[in-house]
Amino acid sequence: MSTATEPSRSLTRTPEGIPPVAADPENVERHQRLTPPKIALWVAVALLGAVSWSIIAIVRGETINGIWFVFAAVCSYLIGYRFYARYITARLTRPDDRRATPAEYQYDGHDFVPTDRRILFGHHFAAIAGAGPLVGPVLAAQMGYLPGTIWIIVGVILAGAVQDYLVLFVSMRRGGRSIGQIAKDELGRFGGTAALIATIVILLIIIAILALVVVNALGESVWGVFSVGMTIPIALFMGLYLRFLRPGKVAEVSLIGVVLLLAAIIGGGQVAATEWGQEFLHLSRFSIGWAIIIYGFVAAVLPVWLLLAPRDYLSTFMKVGTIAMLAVAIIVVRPEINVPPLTQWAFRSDGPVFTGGLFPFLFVTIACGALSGFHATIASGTTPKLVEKERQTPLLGYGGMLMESFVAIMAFVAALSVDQGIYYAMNSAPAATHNTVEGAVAFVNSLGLTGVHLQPEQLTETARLVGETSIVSRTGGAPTLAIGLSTIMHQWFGGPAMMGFWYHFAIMFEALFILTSVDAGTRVARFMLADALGNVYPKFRHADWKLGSYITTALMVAGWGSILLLGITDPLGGINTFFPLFGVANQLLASLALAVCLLVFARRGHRWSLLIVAVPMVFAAVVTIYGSFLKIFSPDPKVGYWANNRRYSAALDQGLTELAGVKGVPQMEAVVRNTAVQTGLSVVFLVCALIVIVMCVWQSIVALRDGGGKNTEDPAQQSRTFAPAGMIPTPEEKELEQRWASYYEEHPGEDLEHRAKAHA
Amino acid sequence: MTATAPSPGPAAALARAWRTARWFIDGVLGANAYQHYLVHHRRHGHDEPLSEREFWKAEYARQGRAVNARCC
Repeated sequence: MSTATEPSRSLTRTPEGIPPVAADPENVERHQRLTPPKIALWVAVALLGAVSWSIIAIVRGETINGIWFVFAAVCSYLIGYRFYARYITARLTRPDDRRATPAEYQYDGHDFVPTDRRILFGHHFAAIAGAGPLVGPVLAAQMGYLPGTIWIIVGVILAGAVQDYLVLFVSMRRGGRSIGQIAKDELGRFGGTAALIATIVILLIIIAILALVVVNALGESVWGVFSVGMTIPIALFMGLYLRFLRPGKVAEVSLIGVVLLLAAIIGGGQVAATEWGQEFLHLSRFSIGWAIIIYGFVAAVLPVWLLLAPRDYLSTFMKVGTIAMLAVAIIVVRPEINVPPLTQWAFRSDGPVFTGGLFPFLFVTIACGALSGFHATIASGTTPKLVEKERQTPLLGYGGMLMESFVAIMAFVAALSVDQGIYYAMNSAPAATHNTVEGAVAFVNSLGLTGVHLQPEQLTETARLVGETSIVSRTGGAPTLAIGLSTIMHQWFGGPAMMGFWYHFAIMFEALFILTSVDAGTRVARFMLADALGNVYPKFRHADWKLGSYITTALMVAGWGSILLLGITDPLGGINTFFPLFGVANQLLASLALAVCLLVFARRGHRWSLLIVAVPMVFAAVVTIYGSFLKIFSPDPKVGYWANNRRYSAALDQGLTELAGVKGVPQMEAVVRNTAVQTGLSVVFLVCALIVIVMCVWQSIVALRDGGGKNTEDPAQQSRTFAPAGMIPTPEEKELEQRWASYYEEHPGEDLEHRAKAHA
Repeated sequence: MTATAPSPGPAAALARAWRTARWFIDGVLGANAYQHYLVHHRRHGHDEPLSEREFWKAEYARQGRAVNARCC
């Protein structure tokens, strides 16, 4: 094992016979130096950001315009990217363009292919963005707009984007190995196994809660069931088209798919008005839950070309398209927000949307929009195998996550623009609203929110406009976001008559993202399990062994399926009690990934610059460990799973048949069962993550004492290709690109990216 | 990638924008996998390359054996 000295002595910027493979460091520095016009520009950005922040944080009017959130976010991102990401690059990662990336030295034409940074940015973003950043902020709106906005923006700059960037970099230096594999390499078998168990359990929780979001959005909604259900035949058609009619015409079939999708949304409105639609598609949440479980199993064992791959194309298309559309709509419509900056729920533990105080549950609830542990699995594994040049990693890792955070801010603005009374009627558990308009109105008006006086007509009229029978207790975030979106979008395009379309458009794309996560997640979990079982019975590792893949898939589907069913039947409102598990799981994975990065850089001999990793790691670890600790041990039954478990057990023992809105012995028994499961899962997370974090921190201290440690990087190899580092090439990079273009014209065989062909 | 020479007229600009959009969309969706395969095959292959149809068949089979993670 070599020690952690810089291994690049033998690398050169100008290998013989080819143009330079890297920009001249002196030129790079000169280009980055702040000149008076640049200083003026950055001062302007900082001023606009500061003004926006003060409007959000200090100015108190009746309402606040949503556009300030967009400005505050974008200005902060720009400053974070220009200054902090560059600081991390200079102090910690020190990418070296003379060094070949795995895409170059392990080039295989399939997984390892040097990919243009702009394409890879889109590809990476499509892989990390999903329903998470759309759901968390909606629920977090309960605490007012200020804490959520601060955490989404500050959190991403100091924690989330740092994690994505570092994991991408660390994995790229290790041939694109996964974070789990890196943990095993660094920590040995015991720590690696703890990381593996934590990852599988976390994955199952994430799938279950996301599926629960879909179930809640589709329950009793004929329109939703029809349009989302139609995605399956549409995907099958696309799969068959690509297989038998026109192989490889992916963009073409995706476009056809999107058109069919829009037709399905419009058709859903008509179907909902028919008798047979009401007869056959008016499904209970329980039936939809079972449908998703069966679907999850079938989708995971079917060949990918038939369902998975085409749906992934659709989902990518919709993702980039709708997010761009949402950004434009918010800028055009500039919605007014009448939520207070800080609500009473920030300091109490009995919020109707989710329980627990601001610290730590705000962070746990927002999760993906600010810091997402799940990205560690994308930033390690898929993307690093495609990176062309090392100096592109800040753009891809840090920049990609900033985009995700921007999605979260837009979802937040959309949710905040929903009328407060409607927001609480939609997001309170059925136990509170009794699932009736009257119950919801009575409950919301009893909350004592300033300026909120809900009228029954508001609920019935909104439901009618979006083509639903009821919007009471439509928990899970997706329906609320859809209401917010349709409220914004119809002002821009189509008027009130289009509200139903926009509402179901939003439901459809969230469901599409989530269903993609459900079967991709099931497959990932299944491969992990197969790999683990392979230790005992090696045949499980053979991907072609059908029975083995059925067994592992069934086990994983049973895992998330049972949690899903518990969530659906939970008397206290599935999302309201289960969502914290999702957030805790995600954030624990993040602290785990950051802990592994901490160890990697400690072993590379870094000292004070380790604070870049240590601060967000400690913060995320404290937040989530404290959060799960409260969920397990808090004596307040509103917060603690176990306290609630004891409370309902005691009530049952006393022969009570009703407690705090939960009526009947079977329902109370369900509470006892669910809280026991929730406690158990919290304990598993906590123990596994603690093992990994403690081991990483301890080993990092050892490395700090020794001034470094073993180096698990792949050996450095000379790069023989060039590409610009940032989105816009510098003058020097432009010139180098030209030289390389003429070089490739003479040596077309050297061009791994077939650049010339792409534009022929 | 805008390697083409600047040509006059809105039609040419439109055509160029279309090509760039196609290049980007194909790249993000992974629709250019066959081209990547051909480039690789030209460098390292020995026998005849697969046809586009055969390639995609093999490619999806390969994807079915691997993990293609998507986030929440």
